[in-house]
Amino acid sequence: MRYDTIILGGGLSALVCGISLQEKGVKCLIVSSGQSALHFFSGSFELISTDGSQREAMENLPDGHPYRKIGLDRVMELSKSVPEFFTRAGYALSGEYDRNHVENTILGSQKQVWLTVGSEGFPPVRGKLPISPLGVKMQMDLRKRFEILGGDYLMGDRAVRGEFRDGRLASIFTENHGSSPFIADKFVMATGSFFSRGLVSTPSGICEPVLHLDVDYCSDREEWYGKGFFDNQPYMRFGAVCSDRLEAVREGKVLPNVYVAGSLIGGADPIKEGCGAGVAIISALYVARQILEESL
Amino acid sequence: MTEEYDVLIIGGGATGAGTARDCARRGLRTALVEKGDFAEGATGRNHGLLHSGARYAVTDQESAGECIRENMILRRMASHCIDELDGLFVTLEEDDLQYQQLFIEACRSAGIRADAMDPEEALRLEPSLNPGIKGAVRVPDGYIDPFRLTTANVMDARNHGAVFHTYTEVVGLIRESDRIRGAVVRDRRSGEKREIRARVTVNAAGIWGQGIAALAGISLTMFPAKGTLLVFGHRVNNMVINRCRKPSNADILVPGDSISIIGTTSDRVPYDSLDKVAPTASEVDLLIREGSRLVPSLAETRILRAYCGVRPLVADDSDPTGRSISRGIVCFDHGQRDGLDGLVTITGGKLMTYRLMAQKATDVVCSKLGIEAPCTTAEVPLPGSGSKEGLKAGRMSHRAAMARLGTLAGRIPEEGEMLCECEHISEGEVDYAIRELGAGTLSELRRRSRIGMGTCQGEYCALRAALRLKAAGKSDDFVKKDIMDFLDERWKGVRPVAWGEALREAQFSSWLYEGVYGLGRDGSEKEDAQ
Ligand SMILES: Cc1cc2nc3c(=O)[nH]c(=O)nc-3n(C[C@H](O)[C@H](O)[C@H](O)COP(=O)(O)OP(=O)(O)OC[C@H]3O[C@@H](n4cnc5c(N)ncnc54)[C@H](O)[C@@H]3O)c2cc1C
Ligand SMILES: Cc1cc2nc3c(=O)[nH]c(=O)nc-3n(C[C@H](O)[C@H](O)[C@H](O)COP(=O)(O)OP(=O)(O)OC[C@H]3O[C@@H](n4cnc5c(N)ncnc54)[C@H](O)[C@@H]3O)c2cc1C
Repeated sequence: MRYDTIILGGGLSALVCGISLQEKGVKCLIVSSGQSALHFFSGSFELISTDGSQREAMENLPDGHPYRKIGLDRVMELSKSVPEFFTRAGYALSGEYDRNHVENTILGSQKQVWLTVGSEGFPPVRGKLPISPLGVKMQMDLRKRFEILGGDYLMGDRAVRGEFRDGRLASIFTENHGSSPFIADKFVMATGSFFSRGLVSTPSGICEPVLHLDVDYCSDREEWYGKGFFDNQPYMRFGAVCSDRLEAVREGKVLPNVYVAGSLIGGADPIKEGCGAGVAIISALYVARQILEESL
Repeated sequence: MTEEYDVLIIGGGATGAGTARDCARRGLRTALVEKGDFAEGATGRNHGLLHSGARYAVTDQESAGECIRENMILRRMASHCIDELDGLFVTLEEDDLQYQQLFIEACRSAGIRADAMDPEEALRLEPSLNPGIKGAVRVPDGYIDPFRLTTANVMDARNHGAVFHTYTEVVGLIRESDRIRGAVVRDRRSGEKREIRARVTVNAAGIWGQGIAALAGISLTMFPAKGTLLVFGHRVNNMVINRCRKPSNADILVPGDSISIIGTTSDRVPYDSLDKVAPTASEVDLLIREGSRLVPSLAETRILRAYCGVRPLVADDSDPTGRSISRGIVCFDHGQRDGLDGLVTITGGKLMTYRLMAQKATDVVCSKLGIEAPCTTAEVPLPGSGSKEGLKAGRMSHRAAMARLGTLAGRIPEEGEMLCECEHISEGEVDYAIRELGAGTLSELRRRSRIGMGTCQGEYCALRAALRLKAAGKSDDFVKKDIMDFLDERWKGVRPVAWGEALREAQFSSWLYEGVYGLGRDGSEKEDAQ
């Protein structure tokens, strides 16, 4: 099977990227192994945690942060297009693209958030897993929109390896499709962080299990963790190495036709910085824009 | 304000709780103080092995005999705390099969049933075993849940009039000439100090007993031996598995409830580091390496957490260097030993022998007070361990509750939501622990119900359980802080083994509690967590 672009991962980042591309007629395949962070969605997206100017707060982000790679001005510019993007997908978000507002959590704490889909994303927890009905619905709606726009969505299949030719990724293989390759010009890795198994850790190291992309982490395991549960957890920032254009790196070399998007990118601490959905959405839009520019 | 009792017991581990039960049943006006929660010391940080005594048979016939006698008693009077699994002592390829013969003879002479079997039969009984074993011996080992055991002793003592003060630390002893007359205690929550007077004071403070003795101005040298254990994510084995050789590191695998525990290591640690001990990476590696010799699948099994405890061993009185240790039960009447009356120390021993230790201490107390009431703790079952006739359990959560609470499960409603899926704990059981077992925090709930002890380590159930505490009247701020304390405590055990699935779950927990629910510490609270 041949596509213009193949996106690995089925979370927020993959869907935003896929929809943006299909909106412009780029033929995409999304390969998703299943559950994503959206299933545990609070109801609000976060861009960066601050009660003041978002742009200023971003000035304090460390080097290597995905927003810095993308460029802070470009981040703000892309964020302007986000409410529109979701309106087209049938979601009227509340909040301003460039100013945070406050939402209450079910424990009565207050959070600075960016754009809100609904306030009871996470109802008091009952049943097997505390799943967010709002997040699940959003995942399904975004998938539907992607498919209506002409995208193919491969559900419940896992990408297991890639085949490289001349320093480029030529095709990928999945669990269910055995030896039949999926071929494309461009690929986007949006397989998430540890939680979604975009990253896998063992006592001796951390890897990206599908393409074996280079991963940035400290080799001494003792340094992966903070002492207290609520302290900084250095492992949160571990992720795939990428160029300023978010191209993936493998064995020290940039892979010119593979992009990284979402929480697989290293350098961010989505919890401490409050930038989870922001990184997922903005990086996806940025990657999509570059793919579009290149295909002109 | 002072309170006055016949006996004041210091320490709410199994030994102290057992002593309180025995004293109260013999009619003494009894009080117990514990600086933290019940079973927060060695009692809640051990292997939970209901020893048959086989482990000591070759090296220490006396301890072995003590174990098998208590083993048989506890099966009757603490039945709801015990899983009668039986154990195998296996000989690995690299071990000497000759030791097996010596072992069997030693067991038999201590009165421990020991049946040799060939490797095929052992593997049929316990398929998780290393297929390369050369032989195995079956002995009556089992699992004993230290939390349930302590709770049941406290409950029975209470039923007989004993008074318990948790979060109450002994900071001084009341001394009148050559007598101890009780203790000065500090309420760790309010900071207030007060006196509790008693005719006899019992030091059951485990490894911290050295400090209590120091408060009395007498010397008692403990030999703190740290041991680390690993909890595996599911029940790998069905019988206790031991290695048939001289006791060493990582040679016991005990299944308990939904998990299995491998242990232990043994290293002497300085007395002044007791409250800071933590499992190290090299201990974790050693436990996995050695443990997977016994049961190969351990190398691939998810580890939930690592924890460690300090054995309350006593340095031999006759050796001033403190290097030789007495292995058995140590019961000192300090009137006789040091000319300081009104103080008794009970320590050493094992969880396994807690009842016998309590009996010995209570005998001394009674003889001092001129009381002749006999000990009944070997005959009368603990609350929960009576006959289960007439009790029926339909739902899964209620069956699980019966396994945990024994006959007391009749006190919790059958219907109601499931609160913890890993351990099948219902809302009713949590409410029962809050209402009747005095659980006021998530950590206390954990010790009284197993909330947070299973596969998810509290990830899913901590919040739900916290909402029950809220329903019982705790404030929002209390509940928030309590969840944070609980997650900090769980993280301590997860951190040494946080890779693979454990790291994945940790990231998820952080998202849930910090990201979604908005919990977190501001600067000032962060300092406390260090
Ligand atoms: C539990 C949780 C709750 C969160 N809640 C919020 C929130 O409320 N607000 C907020 O702003 N941020 C939240 N975040 C941050 C979150 O990381 C981002 O918001 C964002 O959703 C991440 O999107 P993603 O697409 O990068 O990754 P993910 O959502 O993790 O998606 C990765 C996807 O890749 C798939 N995948 C992985 N490997 C393969 C493979 N080999 N082949 C095929 N598919 C694969 C997975 O199944 C998954 O669908 C949360 C994160 C977590 C973990
Ligand atoms: C790693 C390890 C594995 C073990 N495995 C087993 C096993 O498998 N089977 C077995 O039978 N035994 C086992 N043991 C031994 C067993 O755990 C202990 O012997 C037993 O729990 C001791 O109980 P205790 O009540 O005497 O002491 P503890 O449980 O330590 O109780 C002492 C209590 O005193 C309190 N205290 C201290 N100072 C003060 C003060 N100043 N004021 C008020 N209270 C105070 C403490 O907080 C503590 O709760 C093991 C021990 C360890 C460390």
